[in-house]
Amino acid sequence: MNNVFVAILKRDLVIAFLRNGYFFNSLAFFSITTLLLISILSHGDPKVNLNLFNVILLPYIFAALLSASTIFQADFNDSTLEQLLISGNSSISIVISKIIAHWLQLFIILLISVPLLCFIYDINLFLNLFNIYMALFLLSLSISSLVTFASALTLRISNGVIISCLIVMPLTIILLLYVASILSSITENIDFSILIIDIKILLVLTVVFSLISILACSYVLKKI
Amino acid sequence: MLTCQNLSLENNYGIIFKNVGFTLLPGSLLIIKGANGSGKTCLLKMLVGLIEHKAGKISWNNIDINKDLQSFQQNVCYIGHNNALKKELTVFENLDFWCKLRGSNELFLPAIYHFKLHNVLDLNVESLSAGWQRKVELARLLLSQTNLWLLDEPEINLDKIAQDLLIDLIKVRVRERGIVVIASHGLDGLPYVNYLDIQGFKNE
Repeated sequence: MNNVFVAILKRDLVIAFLRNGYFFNSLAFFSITTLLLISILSHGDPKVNLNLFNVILLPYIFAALLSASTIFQADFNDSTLEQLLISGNSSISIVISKIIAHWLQLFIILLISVPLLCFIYDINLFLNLFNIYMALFLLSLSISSLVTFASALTLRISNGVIISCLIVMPLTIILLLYVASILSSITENIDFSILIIDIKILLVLTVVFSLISILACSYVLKKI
Repeated sequence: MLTCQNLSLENNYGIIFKNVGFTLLPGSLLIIKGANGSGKTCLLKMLVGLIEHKAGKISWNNIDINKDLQSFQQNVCYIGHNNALKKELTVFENLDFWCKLRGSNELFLPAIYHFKLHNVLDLNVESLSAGWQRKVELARLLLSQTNLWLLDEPEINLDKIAQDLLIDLIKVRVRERGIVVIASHGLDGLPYVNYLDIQGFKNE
Protein backbone atom coordinates (compact mmCIF):
# COMPACT_ATOMS: atom_id res chain seq x y z
CA MET A 1 0.00 0.00 0.00
CA ASN A 2 2.84 2.33 0.89
CA ASN A 3 4.45 2.10 -2.57
CA VAL A 4 1.20 2.81 -4.39
CA PHE A 5 0.24 5.65 -2.08
CA VAL A 6 3.61 7.42 -2.42
CA ALA A 7 3.87 6.79 -6.18
CA ILE A 8 0.42 8.22 -6.99
CA LEU A 9 0.81 11.14 -4.59
CA LYS A 10 4.22 12.07 -5.97
CA ARG A 11 3.06 11.78 -9.59
CA ASP A 12 -0.08 13.88 -9.05
CA LEU A 13 1.80 16.58 -7.17
CA VAL A 14 4.54 16.77 -9.82
CA ILE A 15 1.87 17.19 -12.51
CA ALA A 16 -0.12 19.75 -10.50
CA PHE A 17 2.80 21.90 -9.36
CA LEU A 18 5.47 21.53 -12.03
CA ARG A 19 3.87 20.48 -15.29
CA ASN A 20 0.39 21.64 -16.15
CA GLY A 21 -0.15 24.08 -13.29
CA TYR A 22 -3.48 22.91 -11.83
CA PHE A 23 -2.24 24.35 -8.53
CA PHE A 24 -1.61 27.77 -10.02
CA ASN A 25 -5.08 27.79 -11.61
CA SER A 26 -6.63 27.18 -8.19
CA LEU A 27 -4.32 29.74 -6.57
CA ALA A 28 -5.16 32.38 -9.18
CA PHE A 29 -8.90 31.70 -8.90
CA PHE A 30 -8.77 31.82 -5.11
CA SER A 31 -6.70 35.04 -5.02
CA ILE A 32 -8.86 36.90 -7.54
CA THR A 33 -12.20 35.93 -5.98
CA THR A 34 -10.96 36.61 -2.43
CA LEU A 35 -9.68 40.06 -3.38
CA LEU A 36 -12.91 40.86 -5.22
CA LEU A 37 -15.06 39.68 -2.31
CA ILE A 38 -13.03 41.63 0.24
CA SER A 39 -13.04 44.78 -1.84
CA ILE A 40 -16.83 44.54 -2.38
CA LEU A 41 -17.70 43.70 1.23
CA SER A 42 -15.31 46.06 2.96
CA HIS A 43 -16.24 49.09 0.90
CA GLY A 44 -16.59 51.84 3.50
CA ASP A 45 -17.11 49.33 6.29
CA PRO A 46 -13.89 48.47 8.12
CA LYS A 47 -15.73 46.15 10.55
CA VAL A 48 -15.89 43.51 7.85
CA ASN A 49 -12.19 42.95 8.45
CA LEU A 50 -13.17 40.99 11.55
CA ASN A 51 -14.71 38.24 9.38
CA LEU A 52 -11.95 38.03 6.85
CA PHE A 53 -11.39 34.35 7.54
CA ASN A 54 -15.00 33.63 6.77
CA VAL A 55 -14.69 35.57 3.55
CA ILE A 56 -11.88 33.33 2.29
CA LEU A 57 -13.92 30.16 2.85
CA LEU A 58 -16.23 30.77 -0.08
CA PRO A 59 -13.48 31.23 -2.73
CA TYR A 60 -11.67 28.28 -1.17
CA ILE A 61 -14.67 26.00 -1.56
CA PHE A 62 -15.26 27.16 -5.14
CA ALA A 63 -11.60 26.52 -5.94
CA ALA A 64 -11.89 23.04 -4.41
CA LEU A 65 -15.05 22.23 -6.37
CA LEU A 66 -13.69 23.54 -9.66
CA SER A 67 -10.55 21.44 -9.29
CA ALA A 68 -12.68 18.29 -8.92
CA SER A 69 -12.16 17.53 -12.60
CA THR A 70 -8.42 17.17 -12.05
CA ILE A 71 -8.77 14.30 -9.57
CA PHE A 72 -9.80 11.35 -11.73
CA GLN A 73 -10.81 12.76 -15.14
CA ALA A 74 -7.33 12.97 -16.69
CA ASP A 75 -6.50 9.46 -15.47
CA PHE A 76 -9.82 8.21 -16.82
CA ASN A 77 -9.28 9.83 -20.23
CA ASP A 78 -5.79 8.44 -20.80
CA SER A 79 -6.67 4.96 -19.40
CA THR A 80 -4.27 5.34 -16.46
CA LEU A 81 -7.18 4.88 -14.08
CA GLU A 82 -8.08 1.45 -15.45
CA GLN A 83 -4.43 0.43 -15.23
CA LEU A 84 -4.32 1.62 -11.61
CA LEU A 85 -7.44 -0.37 -10.80
CA ILE A 86 -6.06 -3.60 -12.29
CA SER A 87 -2.56 -3.16 -10.88
CA GLY A 88 -3.43 -5.55 -8.08
CA ASN A 89 -3.34 -2.78 -5.47
CA SER A 90 -6.14 -1.85 -3.13
CA SER A 91 -8.50 0.75 -4.57
CA ILE A 92 -8.71 2.29 -1.09
CA SER A 93 -5.02 3.22 -1.21
CA ILE A 94 -5.57 4.75 -4.66
CA VAL A 95 -8.48 6.83 -3.36
CA ILE A 96 -6.60 7.98 -0.25
CA SER A 97 -3.63 9.12 -2.31
CA LYS A 98 -5.97 11.04 -4.64
CA ILE A 99 -7.67 12.75 -1.68
CA ILE A 100 -4.35 13.71 -0.10
CA ALA A 101 -2.99 15.03 -3.41
CA HIS A 102 -6.10 17.20 -3.91
CA TRP A 103 -6.06 18.34 -0.30
CA LEU A 104 -2.35 19.27 -0.35
CA GLN A 105 -2.79 21.40 -3.47
CA LEU A 106 -5.58 23.38 -1.85
CA PHE A 107 -4.46 23.50 1.77
CA ILE A 108 -1.20 25.17 0.70
CA ILE A 109 -3.34 28.06 -0.56
CA LEU A 110 -4.86 28.49 2.91
CA LEU A 111 -1.47 28.03 4.53
CA ILE A 112 -0.14 30.99 2.56
CA SER A 113 -3.21 33.22 2.55
CA VAL A 114 -4.07 33.27 6.30
CA PRO A 115 -0.81 34.87 7.57
CA LEU A 116 -0.81 37.10 4.49
CA LEU A 117 -4.29 38.40 5.32
CA CYS A 118 -3.28 38.89 8.97
CA PHE A 119 -0.30 40.90 7.81
CA ILE A 120 -2.14 43.01 5.19
CA TYR A 121 -5.11 43.85 7.42
CA ASP A 122 -3.01 44.18 10.56
CA ILE A 123 -4.92 41.52 12.47
CA ASN A 124 -3.16 40.20 15.53
CA LEU A 125 -4.32 36.59 15.64
CA PHE A 126 -1.01 34.82 15.90
CA LEU A 127 -1.87 33.46 19.33
CA ASN A 128 -4.92 31.78 17.81
CA LEU A 129 -3.25 30.75 14.59
CA PHE A 130 -3.10 27.10 15.66
CA ASN A 131 -6.88 26.98 16.21
CA ILE A 132 -7.55 28.74 12.92
CA TYR A 133 -5.32 26.32 11.06
CA MET A 134 -6.84 23.33 12.84
CA ALA A 135 -10.36 24.39 11.79
CA LEU A 136 -9.24 25.06 8.21
CA PHE A 137 -7.24 21.81 8.08
CA LEU A 138 -10.27 19.75 9.07
CA LEU A 139 -12.60 21.65 6.75
CA SER A 140 -10.29 21.28 3.77
CA LEU A 141 -9.75 17.56 4.41
CA SER A 142 -13.52 16.94 4.56
CA ILE A 143 -14.10 18.92 1.40
CA SER A 144 -11.35 17.13 -0.52
CA SER A 145 -12.80 13.76 0.54
CA LEU A 146 -16.31 14.73 -0.55
CA VAL A 147 -15.12 16.26 -3.81
CA THR A 148 -13.05 13.15 -4.62
CA PHE A 149 -16.11 10.95 -4.14
CA ALA A 150 -18.31 13.21 -6.27
CA SER A 151 -15.64 13.34 -8.94
CA ALA A 152 -15.52 9.52 -9.13
CA LEU A 153 -19.30 9.35 -9.25
CA THR A 154 -19.53 11.65 -12.27
CA LEU A 155 -16.57 10.31 -14.27
CA ARG A 156 -18.59 9.09 -17.23
CA ILE A 157 -20.81 12.16 -17.40
CA SER A 158 -19.88 15.07 -19.63
CA ASN A 159 -19.66 18.32 -17.64
CA GLY A 160 -19.46 16.15 -14.55
CA VAL A 161 -17.90 18.97 -12.52
CA ILE A 162 -21.21 20.79 -12.30
CA ILE A 163 -23.00 17.67 -11.13
CA SER A 164 -20.15 16.96 -8.67
CA CYS A 165 -20.63 20.45 -7.24
CA LEU A 166 -24.36 19.88 -6.83
CA ILE A 167 -23.79 16.53 -5.11
CA VAL A 168 -21.39 17.85 -2.47
CA MET A 169 -22.99 21.27 -2.05
CA PRO A 170 -25.43 20.41 0.81
CA LEU A 171 -22.75 18.80 2.98
CA THR A 172 -20.30 21.54 2.07
CA ILE A 173 -22.73 24.23 3.20
CA ILE A 174 -23.18 22.53 6.58
CA LEU A 175 -19.41 22.32 7.05
CA LEU A 176 -18.95 25.87 5.82
CA LEU A 177 -21.46 27.32 8.29
CA TYR A 178 -19.99 25.33 11.16
CA VAL A 179 -16.40 26.34 10.43
CA ALA A 180 -17.49 29.94 9.91
CA SER A 181 -18.99 29.95 13.41
CA ILE A 182 -15.76 28.46 14.83
CA LEU A 183 -13.66 31.09 13.08
CA SER A 184 -15.95 33.84 14.38
CA SER A 185 -15.53 32.44 17.90
CA ILE A 186 -11.76 32.54 17.48
CA THR A 187 -11.70 36.12 16.22
CA GLU A 188 -14.10 37.26 18.95
CA ASN A 189 -12.07 35.46 21.66
CA ILE A 190 -15.00 33.39 22.89
CA ASP A 191 -14.41 30.90 25.74
CA PHE A 192 -11.55 28.53 24.84
CA SER A 193 -13.28 25.42 26.25
CA ILE A 194 -16.31 25.92 23.94
CA LEU A 195 -13.92 26.32 21.04
CA ILE A 196 -12.20 23.03 21.85
CA ILE A 197 -15.58 21.24 21.88
CA ASP A 198 -16.42 22.78 18.50
CA ILE A 199 -13.12 21.63 17.03
CA LYS A 200 -13.66 18.13 18.44
CA ILE A 201 -17.08 17.98 16.78
CA LEU A 202 -15.50 19.15 13.52
CA LEU A 203 -12.86 16.44 13.89
CA VAL A 204 -15.56 13.78 14.26
CA LEU A 205 -17.42 15.16 11.21
CA THR A 206 -14.20 15.11 9.18
CA VAL A 207 -13.41 11.52 10.14
CA VAL A 208 -16.97 10.38 9.32
CA PHE A 209 -17.14 12.25 5.98
CA SER A 210 -13.66 11.08 4.98
CA LEU A 211 -14.28 7.43 5.81
CA ILE A 212 -17.63 7.34 4.04
CA SER A 213 -16.15 9.13 1.01
CA ILE A 214 -13.16 6.76 0.82
CA LEU A 215 -15.31 3.63 0.99
CA ALA A 216 -17.96 4.97 -1.39
CA CYS A 217 -15.36 6.22 -3.86
CA SER A 218 -13.54 2.90 -3.78
CA TYR A 219 -16.83 1.09 -4.49
CA VAL A 220 -17.71 3.46 -7.34
CA LEU A 221 -14.30 3.03 -8.98
CA LYS A 222 -14.69 -0.75 -8.98
CA LYS A 223 -17.96 -0.37 -10.89
CA ILE A 224 -16.60 1.97 -13.57
CA MET B 1 -4.10 -22.05 -16.79
CA LEU B 2 -6.80 -19.68 -18.00
CA THR B 3 -10.27 -21.11 -18.54
CA CYS B 4 -13.29 -19.25 -19.87
CA GLN B 5 -16.72 -20.85 -20.03
CA ASN B 6 -19.85 -19.53 -21.69
CA LEU B 7 -18.91 -15.86 -21.55
CA SER B 8 -21.60 -13.60 -22.96
CA LEU B 9 -21.91 -9.89 -23.37
CA GLU B 10 -24.74 -7.71 -24.50
CA ASN B 11 -25.37 -3.99 -24.63
CA ASN B 12 -28.44 -1.84 -25.28
CA TYR B 13 -28.33 -2.74 -28.99
CA GLY B 14 -28.24 -6.51 -28.59
CA ILE B 15 -25.88 -9.43 -28.12
CA ILE B 16 -22.20 -8.72 -28.79
CA PHE B 17 -21.03 -12.29 -28.24
CA LYS B 18 -22.51 -15.39 -26.65
CA ASN B 19 -21.08 -18.59 -25.12
CA VAL B 20 -17.42 -17.83 -25.73
CA GLY B 21 -15.20 -20.46 -24.15
CA PHE B 22 -11.58 -21.60 -24.30
CA THR B 23 -8.81 -23.03 -22.15
CA LEU B 24 -5.23 -21.82 -22.36
CA LEU B 25 -2.44 -23.86 -20.83
CA PRO B 26 0.89 -22.30 -19.75
CA GLY B 27 2.91 -21.48 -22.85
CA SER B 28 -0.15 -20.74 -25.00
CA LEU B 29 -0.73 -17.91 -27.40
CA LEU B 30 -4.22 -16.92 -28.52
CA ILE B 31 -5.08 -14.32 -31.12
CA ILE B 32 -8.66 -13.03 -31.04
CA LYS B 33 -9.87 -12.00 -34.45
CA GLY B 34 -13.03 -10.26 -35.55
CA ALA B 35 -14.38 -7.20 -37.31
CA ASN B 36 -14.59 -3.80 -35.67
CA GLY B 37 -17.18 -3.79 -32.91
CA SER B 38 -17.26 -7.57 -32.62
CA GLY B 39 -16.25 -7.41 -28.94
CA LYS B 40 -12.51 -8.17 -28.96
CA THR B 41 -11.66 -5.32 -26.57
CA CYS B 42 -14.65 -6.11 -24.36
CA LEU B 43 -13.55 -9.75 -24.11
CA LEU B 44 -10.04 -8.69 -23.06
CA LYS B 45 -11.48 -6.26 -20.50
CA MET B 46 -13.68 -9.05 -19.22
CA LEU B 47 -10.65 -11.31 -18.84
CA VAL B 48 -8.80 -8.72 -16.77
CA GLY B 49 -11.84 -7.88 -14.63
CA LEU B 50 -12.53 -4.40 -15.98
CA ILE B 51 -15.91 -5.52 -17.30
CA GLU B 52 -17.97 -7.72 -15.03
CA HIS B 53 -18.99 -11.02 -16.65
CA LYS B 54 -22.64 -11.48 -15.81
CA ALA B 55 -22.85 -14.83 -17.58
CA GLY B 56 -20.24 -17.57 -17.67
CA LYS B 57 -17.10 -18.14 -15.67
CA ILE B 58 -13.42 -17.17 -15.86
CA SER B 59 -10.93 -19.27 -13.89
CA TRP B 60 -7.23 -18.79 -13.29
CA ASN B 61 -5.53 -22.03 -12.24
CA ASN B 62 -8.98 -23.52 -11.61
CA ILE B 63 -10.02 -20.73 -9.21
CA ASP B 64 -12.81 -18.34 -10.16
CA ILE B 65 -11.19 -14.92 -10.63
CA ASN B 66 -14.07 -13.22 -8.84
CA LYS B 67 -13.11 -15.00 -5.60
CA ASP B 68 -9.95 -12.92 -5.32
CA LEU B 69 -9.83 -10.49 -8.21
CA GLN B 70 -6.99 -8.43 -6.74
CA SER B 71 -4.63 -11.44 -6.49
CA PHE B 72 -5.55 -12.53 -10.01
CA GLN B 73 -4.83 -9.06 -11.36
CA GLN B 74 -1.33 -9.20 -9.87
CA ASN B 75 -0.67 -11.96 -12.43
CA VAL B 76 -1.92 -9.91 -15.39
CA CYS B 77 -0.39 -7.23 -17.58
CA TYR B 78 -3.03 -5.58 -19.76
CA ILE B 79 -2.04 -3.26 -22.57
CA GLY B 80 -5.13 -1.42 -23.73
CA HIS B 81 -5.95 0.40 -26.91
CA ASN B 82 -4.89 3.73 -25.36
CA ASN B 83 -1.43 4.27 -23.96
CA ALA B 84 -1.70 4.67 -20.19
CA LEU B 85 0.96 7.36 -20.14
CA LYS B 86 1.00 10.81 -18.61
CA LYS B 87 1.97 13.11 -21.45
CA GLU B 88 3.23 15.81 -19.07
CA LEU B 89 5.81 13.45 -17.58
CA THR B 90 9.03 12.15 -19.09
CA VAL B 91 9.47 8.58 -20.30
CA PHE B 92 11.60 7.87 -17.23
CA GLU B 93 8.97 9.27 -14.85
CA ASN B 94 6.21 7.24 -16.49
CA LEU B 95 8.11 3.96 -16.37
CA ASP B 96 9.38 4.66 -12.85
CA PHE B 97 5.77 5.18 -11.74
CA TRP B 98 4.66 1.79 -13.09
CA CYS B 99 7.77 0.15 -11.62
CA LYS B 100 6.87 1.46 -8.18
CA LEU B 101 3.28 0.40 -8.58
CA ARG B 102 4.31 -3.12 -9.48
CA GLY B 103 7.20 -3.10 -7.00
CA SER B 104 9.65 -4.25 -9.67
CA ASN B 105 12.56 -1.79 -9.82
CA GLU B 106 15.05 -4.43 -10.95
CA LEU B 107 13.17 -4.85 -14.25
CA PHE B 108 13.51 -1.20 -15.22
CA LEU B 109 16.71 -1.49 -17.28
CA PRO B 110 15.73 -4.57 -19.33
CA ALA B 111 12.46 -2.82 -20.24
CA ILE B 112 14.31 0.27 -21.44
CA TYR B 113 16.95 -1.57 -23.42
CA HIS B 114 14.60 -4.00 -25.15
CA PHE B 115 12.65 -1.17 -26.77
CA LYS B 116 15.75 1.04 -27.12
CA LEU B 117 14.24 3.80 -25.02
CA HIS B 118 17.52 4.94 -23.44
CA ASN B 119 17.84 7.94 -25.77
CA VAL B 120 14.36 9.29 -25.06
CA LEU B 121 14.23 8.77 -21.29
CA ASP B 122 14.38 12.51 -20.48
CA LEU B 123 11.85 13.57 -23.09
CA ASN B 124 8.25 14.35 -22.27
CA VAL B 125 5.91 11.70 -23.64
CA GLU B 126 3.90 14.36 -25.51
CA SER B 127 6.98 15.24 -27.57
CA LEU B 128 7.31 11.66 -28.85
CA SER B 129 5.75 10.28 -32.00
CA ALA B 130 2.80 7.88 -31.71
CA GLY B 131 5.10 4.93 -32.44
CA TRP B 132 7.54 5.85 -29.68
CA GLN B 133 4.68 6.39 -27.26
CA ARG B 134 3.46 2.88 -28.05
CA LYS B 135 6.94 1.51 -27.41
CA VAL B 136 7.00 3.20 -23.98
CA GLU B 137 3.61 1.66 -23.25
CA LEU B 138 4.78 -1.79 -24.36
CA ALA B 139 7.85 -1.50 -22.12
CA ARG B 140 5.40 -1.99 -19.24
CA LEU B 141 5.21 -5.64 -20.31
CA LEU B 142 8.75 -6.11 -19.08
CA LEU B 143 8.26 -4.11 -15.88
CA SER B 144 6.28 -6.89 -14.29
CA GLN B 145 6.93 -10.61 -14.34
CA THR B 146 3.28 -11.46 -14.88
CA ASN B 147 2.13 -14.80 -16.24
CA LEU B 148 -0.77 -13.53 -18.29
CA TRP B 149 -0.46 -10.84 -20.96
CA LEU B 150 -3.60 -9.37 -22.48
CA LEU B 151 -2.75 -7.16 -25.44
CA ASP B 152 -5.27 -5.05 -27.33
CA GLU B 153 -3.90 -4.30 -30.80
CA PRO B 154 -0.36 -3.90 -29.48
CA GLU B 155 1.07 -3.38 -32.97
CA ILE B 156 -0.72 -0.09 -33.72
CA ASN B 157 1.65 2.74 -34.70
CA LEU B 158 4.69 0.45 -34.57
CA ASP B 159 7.13 0.24 -37.48
CA LYS B 160 8.43 -3.11 -38.74
CA ILE B 161 11.49 -3.08 -36.45
CA ALA B 162 9.42 -2.35 -33.36
CA GLN B 163 6.87 -4.99 -34.37
CA ASP B 164 9.70 -7.52 -34.56
CA LEU B 165 10.85 -6.50 -31.07
CA LEU B 166 7.32 -7.05 -29.81
CA ILE B 167 7.07 -10.43 -31.53
CA ASP B 168 10.40 -11.48 -29.95
CA LEU B 169 9.09 -10.45 -26.56
CA ILE B 170 5.88 -12.46 -27.00
CA LYS B 171 7.83 -15.52 -28.18
CA VAL B 172 10.06 -15.37 -25.08
CA ARG B 173 7.07 -14.97 -22.79
CA VAL B 174 5.33 -17.98 -24.34
CA ARG B 175 8.57 -20.02 -24.16
CA GLU B 176 8.79 -19.14 -20.45
CA ARG B 177 5.36 -20.75 -19.93
CA GLY B 178 3.43 -17.49 -19.90
CA ILE B 179 0.00 -17.09 -21.49
CA VAL B 180 -0.52 -14.36 -24.08
CA VAL B 181 -3.90 -13.29 -25.44
CA ILE B 182 -3.88 -10.72 -28.24
CA ALA B 183 -6.73 -8.91 -29.96
CA SER B 184 -5.27 -8.01 -33.30
CA HIS B 185 -5.99 -7.44 -36.97
CA GLY B 186 -2.50 -8.01 -38.26
CA LEU B 187 0.31 -9.23 -36.06
CA ASP B 188 2.14 -11.76 -38.23
CA GLY B 189 5.18 -13.88 -37.57
CA LEU B 190 4.11 -15.61 -34.37
CA PRO B 191 4.49 -19.40 -34.25
CA TYR B 192 2.08 -21.93 -32.67
CA VAL B 193 -0.82 -19.51 -32.53
CA ASN B 194 -4.37 -20.45 -31.60
CA TYR B 195 -7.02 -18.33 -33.23
CA LEU B 196 -10.43 -17.38 -31.91
CA ASP B 197 -12.78 -15.69 -34.35
CA ILE B 198 -15.17 -13.87 -32.04
CA GLN B 199 -17.47 -13.04 -34.94
CA GLY B 200 -18.70 -16.63 -34.89
CA PHE B 201 -20.04 -16.31 -31.35
CA LYS B 202 -22.63 -13.66 -32.07
CA ASN B 203 -25.55 -15.90 -32.92
CA GLU B 204 -24.69 -19.19 -31.26
